[in-house]
Amino acid sequence: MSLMFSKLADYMEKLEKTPSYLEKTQLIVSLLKETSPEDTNSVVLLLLGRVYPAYVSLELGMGVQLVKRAVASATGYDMNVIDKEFAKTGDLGVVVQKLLEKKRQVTLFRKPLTVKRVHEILAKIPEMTGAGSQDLRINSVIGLLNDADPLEARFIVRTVLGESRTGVAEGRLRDAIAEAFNVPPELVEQAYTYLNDHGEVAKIAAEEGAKGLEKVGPIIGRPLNVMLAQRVDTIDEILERMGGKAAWEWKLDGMRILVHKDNEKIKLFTRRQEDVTSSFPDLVEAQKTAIKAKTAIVDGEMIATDSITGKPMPFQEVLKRRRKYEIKEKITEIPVSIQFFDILLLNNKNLMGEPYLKRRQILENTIKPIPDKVSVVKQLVSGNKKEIEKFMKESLKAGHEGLLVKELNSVYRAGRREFLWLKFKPEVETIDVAVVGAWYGKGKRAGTFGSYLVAVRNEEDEKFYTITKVGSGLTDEQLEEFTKMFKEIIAKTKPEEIVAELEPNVWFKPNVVWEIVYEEIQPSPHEKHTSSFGLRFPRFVKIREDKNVNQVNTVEEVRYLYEKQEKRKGKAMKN
Amino acid sequence: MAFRAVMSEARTMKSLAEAISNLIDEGALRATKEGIKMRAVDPAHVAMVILDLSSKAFEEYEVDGETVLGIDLEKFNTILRRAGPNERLEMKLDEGTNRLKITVRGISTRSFNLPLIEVSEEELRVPQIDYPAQLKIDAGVIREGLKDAETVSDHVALEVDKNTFYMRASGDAGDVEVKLGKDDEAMVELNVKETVKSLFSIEYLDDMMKASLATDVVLISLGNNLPVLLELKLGAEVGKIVFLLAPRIETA
Repeated sequence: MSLMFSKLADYMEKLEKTPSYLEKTQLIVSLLKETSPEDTNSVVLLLLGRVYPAYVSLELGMGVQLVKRAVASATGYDMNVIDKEFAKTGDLGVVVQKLLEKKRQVTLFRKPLTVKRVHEILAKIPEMTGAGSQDLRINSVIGLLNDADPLEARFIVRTVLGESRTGVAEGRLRDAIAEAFNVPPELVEQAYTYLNDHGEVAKIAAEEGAKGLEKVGPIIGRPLNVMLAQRVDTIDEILERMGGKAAWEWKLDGMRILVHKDNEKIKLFTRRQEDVTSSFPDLVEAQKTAIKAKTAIVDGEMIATDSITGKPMPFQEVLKRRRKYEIKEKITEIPVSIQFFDILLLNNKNLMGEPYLKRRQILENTIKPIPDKVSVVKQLVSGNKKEIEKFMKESLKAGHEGLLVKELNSVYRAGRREFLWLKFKPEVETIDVAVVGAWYGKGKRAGTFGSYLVAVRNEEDEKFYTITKVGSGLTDEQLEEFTKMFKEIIAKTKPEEIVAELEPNVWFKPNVVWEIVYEEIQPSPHEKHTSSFGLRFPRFVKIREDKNVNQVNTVEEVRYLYEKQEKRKGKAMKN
Repeated sequence: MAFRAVMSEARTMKSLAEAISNLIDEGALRATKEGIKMRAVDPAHVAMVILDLSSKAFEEYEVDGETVLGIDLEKFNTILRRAGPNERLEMKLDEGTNRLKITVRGISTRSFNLPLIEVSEEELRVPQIDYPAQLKIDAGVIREGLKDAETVSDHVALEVDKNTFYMRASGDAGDVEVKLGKDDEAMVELNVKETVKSLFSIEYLDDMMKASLATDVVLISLGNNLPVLLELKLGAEVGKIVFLLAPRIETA
């Protein structure tokens, strides 16, 4: 017997109410313990407000307007009432719950909802396409709401809209799954880096325990999280961290790509786990001969090269290749190539636990370079500062960003930004931030947003803490363009994932990532910026379309940068 | 799969289509040699329709085994509205195109082709209720009574005691009471074990009563805050249509 959906709804309500991390974890633990293994996958996905795991690019395709129609039909109230209630809270889940509680019309029968039934019905919605499919989708939701009690309806509506508001984020599930099924958290995390789906991870933990999790490896055709690098400022510090010697690679400013090869089938995934295979038919073809293996997952950076100067084109040019139409035209206009620097799987053997140098060796043996299309990135293994400085100059001269540094024995830590990989750029300090709010400008900037409130992420609670207001660095065109763009995504109320004391004129759901440059990090009173840090002379640099908001810099990283800066200042004063 | 049925007068089918299509969007007509049956609920699960038409309701009737016709009831009703009550009506399945050919014969002969649809058939169980009160009255009393009640409210209480049937409604505009006593001519039968009362949506009741003619007799089964069951006999050997309507909860 599948778990009753009412049980899940009760838990979701409790999760929504408690702000405590520990309590939330305990609630998820006891829910998972009550769930039979066959339902574990569904329960975890629904807890996250999802129908499919994040890497599956299927959408329910039901906006607020459609769901309002379903709510109207199921509650018997007309649109005016629903609009009025929706305007109060901005949460259609609360609206449906309230109206169902007030509903005086009884129904003839109710078939109690199980988790399985709810998940199955919702999962079928994306398959409904073509003429008349909109009504079919609405009817599916009405059917569920007719059988739902008010609390269940609240979470059904939210799930349809892709929000759970229970404060259960992916990161929180690791500990809960580990405790519920008595398996080490590290194993849960490791399995997640491969599967990218906590539902599946939980199911394996429930059915097969630690042994099952250990067996999980990278899966060809399924995107996984790439390993990331921490930023460090000086060669000396790097060598100190790396034990005197490291591998140095040219750092290219392009699009991070994981290539999956399954015999003749090639797939390209971005670091945001988007499948971009269809945008790059030229590269796909090249992989078939360049990767000398039956199956492989190879990690690299895709860049565009100016055919006249031979220098890399700005990163924005590569982005122009990510399109659905006129793909062929752009192939000659913006030719791209890929440079590989790591290999995660070869002929179905997982290499992620092998040391860096061994992987590099295997990579070089596996890739057959194709001029202007596929190569292995330039690398130097050295502990000699002069040699490294020369290598850095070569990289910059060739038009690249700097160097990536890799610990010689490091394993591939998917999804992690640790000190095993470092990045070394000569430039000014920049950080990536989420745009969370804005103020209308005055004078020349009247009518447009004149300054924006931006935030960094706290990994503990996965919320966004403000760090600065930024208005300079934006051209007049950008001011216009961004105003238009951001007006589309104004939130009715402050989104719950933003922690802020300042009150901008409008709030945005964190969605857009900006790179900003600054002169100095300063401590900030919490009443002003909740990250406890502020930036001096912040300037907008560019939109980071390649990053999602969960990849912006963290409060911890800002603290690290601040401490570095203070140490440097201390040294300067001593001199 | 073959189906053909002819009614010498379209009248009965017209009022059935009118009543059912107001409640339900689509339904599966199940034709066997005994006749045509349909069971369906409205999308909100508030009302159920059970149609039982005997093959004897038709002048000519042919069917192969069991034939299921998925009907878009609104479109079906739109076509039947075009038929005069005394005109001859023929319905025939065209298997090749999966359409129902509806031919109306009066002064001229008109044909309509209704595309059939896939209807997902849920298994519907009729709630088994032991009703404490049953009465038979002229349908006209209910039809007029609903119009009276509608002047003040969108819902009406149906009540019965040992001697009388009441329809009561109240709202900001005042109160309405419709009364039919045991000895009144329109009261055909009254079997009451205890005094009962339930509240219903006027709109739904109104739609259901469209299946009746004023002189028809309606069998009402009533309880306390229970669904009401309305049964209309469609004439001798023609069949019956039964409606089940869930109650509303009294306003606190």
